[in-house]
This record gives sequence, C-alpha cells and structure tokens, in this order.
Amino acid sequence: MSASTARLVVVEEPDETPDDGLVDTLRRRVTGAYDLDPWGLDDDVTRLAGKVASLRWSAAVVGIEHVPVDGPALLVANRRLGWSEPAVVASAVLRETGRVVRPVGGVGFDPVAGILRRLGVVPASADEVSATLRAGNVVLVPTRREPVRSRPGHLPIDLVAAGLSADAPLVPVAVIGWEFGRHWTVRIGEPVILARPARARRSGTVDPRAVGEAAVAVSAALDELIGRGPERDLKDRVRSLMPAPGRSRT
Amino acid sequence: MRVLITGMGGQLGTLVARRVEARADVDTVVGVDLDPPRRRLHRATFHWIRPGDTDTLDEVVRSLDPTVVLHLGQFEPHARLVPQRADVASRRATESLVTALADAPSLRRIVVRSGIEVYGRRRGGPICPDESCPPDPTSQFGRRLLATEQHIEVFARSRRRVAVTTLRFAPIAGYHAPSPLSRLLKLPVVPVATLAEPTFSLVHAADAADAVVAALDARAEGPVNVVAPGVVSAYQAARIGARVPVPVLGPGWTLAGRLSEFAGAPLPDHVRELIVRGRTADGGRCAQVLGCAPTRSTRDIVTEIHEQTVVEFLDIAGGYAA
Repeated sequence: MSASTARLVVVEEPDETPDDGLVDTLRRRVTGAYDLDPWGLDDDVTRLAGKVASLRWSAAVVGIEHVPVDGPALLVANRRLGWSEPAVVASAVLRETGRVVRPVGGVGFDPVAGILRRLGVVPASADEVSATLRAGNVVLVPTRREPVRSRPGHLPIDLVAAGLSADAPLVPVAVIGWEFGRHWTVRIGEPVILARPARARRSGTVDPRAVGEAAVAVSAALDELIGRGPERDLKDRVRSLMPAPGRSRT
Repeated sequence: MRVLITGMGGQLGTLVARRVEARADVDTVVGVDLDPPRRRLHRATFHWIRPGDTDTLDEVVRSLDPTVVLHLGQFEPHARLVPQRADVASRRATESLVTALADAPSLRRIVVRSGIEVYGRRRGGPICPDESCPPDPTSQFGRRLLATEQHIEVFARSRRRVAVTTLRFAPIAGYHAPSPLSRLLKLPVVPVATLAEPTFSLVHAADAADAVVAALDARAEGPVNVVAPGVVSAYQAARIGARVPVPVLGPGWTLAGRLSEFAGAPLPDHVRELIVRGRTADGGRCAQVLGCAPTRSTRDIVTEIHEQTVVEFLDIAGGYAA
C-alpha cells in the first residue's frame, strides 16, 4: 500500500460509544452492575480491550456500511497466521460502529477461556454460533489458516450453515496486513445474496444447496476483496462519502 | 375443563392454582401434594397425598376424570426436601400419576414441570442450548427431571390423543420461593468460581406460573425453555446484595459446601454446577409457542431475593387489638 493511500484511508472517526469515566467503571465492578451476556462477554472489558488494540493495530476500514447497524451478521474473514486478524477486525468494527464483534475460536480451558469469553470469543461450534446470532450479535468466522496471501483459505461450512440457519447476512471481510506489523487494511464486502432461499420450504431446515452456494459466493467475494488494489479502496471510500442518488446529504 | 395439579403445595403449584381457578373455562381444580397450598384458594380442592400413594391418587383421578394435568410435583433438592428424599419423592410422584392416569379417559393434555438442568454443563457442551439440543444432564436433579420427561412421554405415546408440553424452567426463584440458590446468595459470604465468571439465568416464580397457565391453551407439543431475560454471574449476584464473594477453587468446594450447609444453606450438586460452570438456555421459543415470556429479568430476581421485608408490628397497647 502506498503511503499516500494509507494517509487517506486511515481516518480516525470520532468514537461515538458512550464512555464514562474510570470511577464509574470501577463502581460497576464493585457493585456487580456491569453487563455480561450468556457467553460471558463483558462490555467494560471489551471496550477497554478495544482501546488497547488501537494502540497495537491501526486498521484502515473500507466498506464499513456493509456491517448492519443492528441485528445479527456473520462476518467471514480470511486469515494467514490467524493471531492478529480477529483482533484487527473486532477493534476496527468496534471503533467504526460501536458494535462488539464476537470472534469464533477455540476457547480452551480456564483461566484463558474465561478471559477470551470476556472479550467476546464464542466457542467454534455450529450450535453456539447459531445461538449467538439469534441473540442479535455480529459474529466473526475466520477461514482456515492460509499462508499464501492471495488465497482466502477454506471456509468452515458448518459455521456458514449456522449463519444461514439464524437468518443472518453473510458479509465477506478481507484482512490484509503483516502479522507483526501495525498497519492493516480491512475490506468489508457487500452481504452475499443467494439465488435460492436458505431454508427448505416444508421442513424449515437449512438447504444444503444454499449452504454450498453461500460458501462459493463468499469465497469469490473474499478472492475479489483480497486481490484488488488500493486504488479501488480509494474509489469506494470516495463513493461512500458521496450522497446517495435522489437523497440530499444532511 | 377439569384440571388436576400435582405439587399444588409448592410455591409454583400454589401460584398456578390461583391462576387456574380464576379462569372461567375451568370447571374444577383439584390439587395433590405432600404439603398444603401456601395461599388461600377459593375454588380448588386440595388432597393431602404422599408421593407414591397410588391408591388414593387413583381415587382422586377416577372421581375427577381430568382433561388437563399439570404435573408440577417435582422436588428440587434442598428446596423442600433433602436430595435423596427429593429424588425419591419426584420419582414416586411421577410413577403414581402415570399409573392413576390410566383411569382418565377424558385426558387431553399434560403439562410437565422440568428444568434446564436437563441440558447439563459437560465440558464442550452448549453454553446456551435451545430445545433442539439433546439433553445430557450432569446433576442428580437434571437426571431426575429428564427421567420424568421420558416417563410422561412414554405414557403419552400409549395414549393417542394426549398432548404433552414440557416446560424446562431456569432455576425458579423469587422472594418467597424456597430455593437452595436463594438461600446461598443470602449468606453474608458467597462462594464463587475463581478462574472464570460463568453466568446463569433464573425465572421468577410468578412468570413460571404464567407460563404453565399459558401452556393450557398452547397447541404446541414438546419441550419449551422458560428463561428470564439476562444473565448474572455468582460474583454479581453476591455484590447486588452487598455480600462478600469468596473465590473457591477445586477441592475448596467441598469445604465451601460444608460451611454453607452449617450456615443453613446446603449446596446441592446442581447449584454448585450452576456457580462453577454457569447455567442458561435460549428461551426464544417460549414467546412463539406459549404467547408469553418472562418479564422480570434475572438481575431483578436477584435483587428481589436480597430485598429484606420490613416487618411492622401491631401496636396492641395502642388499641389495634381492640
């Protein structure tokens, strides 16, 4: 990525999430008035971790408008080594939209598992992903590790099917950067639209053909997002700043 | 509609009985239990029957010929009975009911009280199971509830026109509800998990009673999770009541169990599991199937558990007694 492009796209949006002081946070911890969700997500800890993550990673985000403002969404992201990508996407989406992203991964044993659950990590099982989406969360499913930068990696089909079963939009996300580097680019594509209904009409279960179609469409979208150059990012960025046709900017 | 309520003497049974007898479409309400109802009932008839007394229950069923049975006679360990007696009483209550219902030709519906303990909390198991998850209980109470579900299910299969709705409640709590978890949370010092902060859900006894009554009209069969919105951890539940949470690890739970029992709040295995591993479930189907959902959040229920009732003494010398 050229230096000029990086300067243009790394625009720090003002943080619009409610942010009370350290005293209020500490008071909540002492009185037990902080929020947890069934999977253990701790809102205070997650927002603090988001601030720490912004010191470690600087992510340029393109296409943030494709992440729904509310309701469930299944983000499908590529990964190479897989250590930084979930944190990069989660911190970038939190910064841009205020929504907490729930990465899917092996949570292991306590106390590591407890810490990861506080940060929003969801166990990598179709049941958990489906239940988390039904609760209205944004879930991040990484592909299998793929060291070659130009390839997106294999999709976990069972988790894609879980997304369809929860009627969540599938949003491809390309994460580009160097594992030990600071500057990353997150390209978020348009939600995948399927030609056929995701559910079988009679039984209401997820149609395996729809799952296959969704996997192919997400892979293709990831290929396109990973492969395209920074000039396209610039065009998209400018387009997102322009008023929509027939609608005046306020 | 003629309604037979087992477990009418419990908090849930009494609340359900009051709601059922207020309905215009209910002709007769008859209840059985080993304790009398906790509130005054106006239309309902109560029979004091020990669980397992099949002959007496048989007579009651034969004379009533119920169209609906609300089987709430399941005893949570250390709520009203010690674990062993609670398990035996729950088993006998179900067995004698099934035996007696052979003489109920008009029976059309059975609503069974169960619990989300049937899903268990095995390592790697679902954290927030819905009704499609296969039950895999890991506590004595969970295994008993699952056995009851299966017993009723087998009976219903032998009777073509009998529908069964199984309500899997989160732990039922509230200010008046006898619950080992409520007693534990009221101790000045509450044991909590050390390495993690697992969460649990509750359901208020009044919301649970509303769900049972809603199940009278629901056409859906099968299990339905009834869970209050929101979750809390044991640490939060202790701090909401300004109690002191004490982290406990591994073998320390045996000592914590002994000490809490000595303090008047025994720690049965399903409550220990709830604190150490957490317990919640997806209650989304409840609103769809029953048309009602719990309104009080888990945090509100914990707050209610900790609230102290102010006792106002009558001033007899001042003339109230006269």
